[in-house]
Amino acid sequence: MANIVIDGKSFTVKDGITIIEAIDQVKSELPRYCYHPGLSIAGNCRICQVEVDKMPGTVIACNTRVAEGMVIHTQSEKAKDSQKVVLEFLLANHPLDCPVCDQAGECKLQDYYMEYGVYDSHFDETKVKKTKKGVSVGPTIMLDQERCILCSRCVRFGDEITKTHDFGIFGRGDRAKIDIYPGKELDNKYSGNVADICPVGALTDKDFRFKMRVWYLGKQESVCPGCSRGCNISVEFEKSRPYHLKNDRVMRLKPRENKDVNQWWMCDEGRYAYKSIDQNRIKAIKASRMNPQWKDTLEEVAGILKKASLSAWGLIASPQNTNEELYLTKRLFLDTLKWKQAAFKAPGQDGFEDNFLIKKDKNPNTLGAEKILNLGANEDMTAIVEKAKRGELEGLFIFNHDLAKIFGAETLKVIRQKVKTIIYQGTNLNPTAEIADIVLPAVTYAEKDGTFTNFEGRVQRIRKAVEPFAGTLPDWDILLNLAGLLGLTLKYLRPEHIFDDLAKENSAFKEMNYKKLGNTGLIWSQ
Amino acid sequence: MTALPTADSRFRGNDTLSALDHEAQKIVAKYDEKRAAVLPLLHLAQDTIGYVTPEAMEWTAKWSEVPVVHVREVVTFYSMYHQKPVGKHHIRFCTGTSCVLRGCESQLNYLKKKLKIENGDVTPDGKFSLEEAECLCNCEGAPMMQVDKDYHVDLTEKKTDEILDGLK
Repeated sequence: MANIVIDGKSFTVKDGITIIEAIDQVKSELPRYCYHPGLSIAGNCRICQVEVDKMPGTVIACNTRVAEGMVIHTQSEKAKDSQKVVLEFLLANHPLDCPVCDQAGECKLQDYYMEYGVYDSHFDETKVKKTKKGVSVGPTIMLDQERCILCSRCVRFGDEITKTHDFGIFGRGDRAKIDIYPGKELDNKYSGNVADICPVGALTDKDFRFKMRVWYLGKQESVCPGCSRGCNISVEFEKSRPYHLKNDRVMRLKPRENKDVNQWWMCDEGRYAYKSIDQNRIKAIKASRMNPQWKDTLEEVAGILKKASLSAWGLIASPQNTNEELYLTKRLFLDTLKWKQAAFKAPGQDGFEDNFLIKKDKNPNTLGAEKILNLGANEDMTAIVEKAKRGELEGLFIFNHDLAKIFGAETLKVIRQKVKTIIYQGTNLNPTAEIADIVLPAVTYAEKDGTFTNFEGRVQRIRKAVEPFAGTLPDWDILLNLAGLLGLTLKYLRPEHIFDDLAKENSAFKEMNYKKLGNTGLIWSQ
Repeated sequence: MTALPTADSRFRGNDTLSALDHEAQKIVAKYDEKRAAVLPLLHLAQDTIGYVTPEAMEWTAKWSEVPVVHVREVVTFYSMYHQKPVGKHHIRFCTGTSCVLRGCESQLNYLKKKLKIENGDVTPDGKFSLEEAECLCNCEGAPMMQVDKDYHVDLTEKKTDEILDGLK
């Protein structure tokens, strides 16, 4: 360990870390462009200048290691002067087109100019203009060469993270510019990340650019439901301009740092999957009476479930649901109604997998469903579906799954003919919801609180980012209401309370609670 | 996306490069790290083909195990690698500070008029190409130029005539 002083405060930090790492650890501030904790040290932007006692001049914090007794100043006149001079150089050929730049509001050039710059330009010369402005470099990213400050983060991302070697810096001096190899495209499964790590407006996200100024965005910490990895994300939604884009509330997803799960990254598949939060949603209840409301629909469902014979109904639960919802599913259908036929796993749905983040199981909570429902060998839904096809079932209660997608449209047609009552509870329109007798509109992960268990047993929280659409309810709320109508009184106000009971009952979740899960989650004790 | 100019496949294509494979192997063997061979490999390809073609970059990438995008970084960084064909004789005319002070401008203009080309051009007969260069480190001989591998110093219009007319 090394004892160091940063801006007059003493700290003990690990030997051999860099000054900038020490500054980040003690939550102090220092400007940076090329430094990124997930990438190798480049040391080329020079903005992270600090003054170190007994060292001449100033040094860059990202490439200077701490040493015992080091006294570091980030705010001294000498340090601030150096930072300012460097910033002026970085801005020398920058077009200052902030009013038309989509990065404005989250641009480090803007931010640091206000914090560290605020000078009158000394630059009388004509700016060197780069050629490519607003040019597509692949399916997800636009390139603007003249805004680039050549920090090389995107180059290193391609070399070190995706190993696709996409970007290079061509030419030299003030004519050097960032580009991809002529004739090639930036097209890999993690391409969206380069827009995140670009500190300026040189690389912007095609999907997001010009949709909304970032200062209108609200942010909520959540977990990507796209696969069983459970990448930590921030759901960014329209907060203060409801008239701006009528039906689109969620604007983008951004990865959130979690060293144990996704580091700083997320895949494109997850990043651009947010559209199903706002589009193609089930917003209306469907039941036997005209113009159904929640109260009478749930009473109708409760009536049906009361009369249902244990052996003639099948439950198809969903690994898209939260641990809390699966726990209520278990309490209601397995413990109280004592249904014999239950499953949650869809056969043959594995997707792409790599050895980085993407998992082949495209459900966020398969492990949670396994542990909570505890169905053992019966978790695959094929047996239930086969029974339904043979006409041996009277009813099906389906959560979220689209049987047409899993078993084919023909199978769904047969099931519809053979099964008298089909109840569907889910978020988005699909053929199964269309043929159901009763449809209960549920909400997506962005509209509710809860937890998912990822592939390695890490329990992580999702949080409500936007309000549910009128007429939709969270699955846990629907299940609680149904439970009440079926004589199972559960006094939970929030998913948090449900989780507390789950933790008491299920040893995998032992001693966990929302507070302990925090922002990065906890791994099962066993 | 603009593609790079491709090599004339009749005599500058991949056959030429594969004929260099044996020599490339020897170059790579000289270094502890294969990537150290990027510069000599590019020189070898350029000396043979006349300029660095996209195929030559791919070939260099293959032998040095450096991603081709980074080979291109090197090619675009150094002014002595050409990305398009140059003349039989390549002239690098110094425009450094000392040469400017000693009146290189009029000498350069004379040369341009004589060859009827501008900076970066090749004469129609393919004999000469011109490149205005930064300081070539021969200030004591300013104004000066480099023709192929030779330096020519203390240029006058007469001397330029002699040099260029004497070349085949």
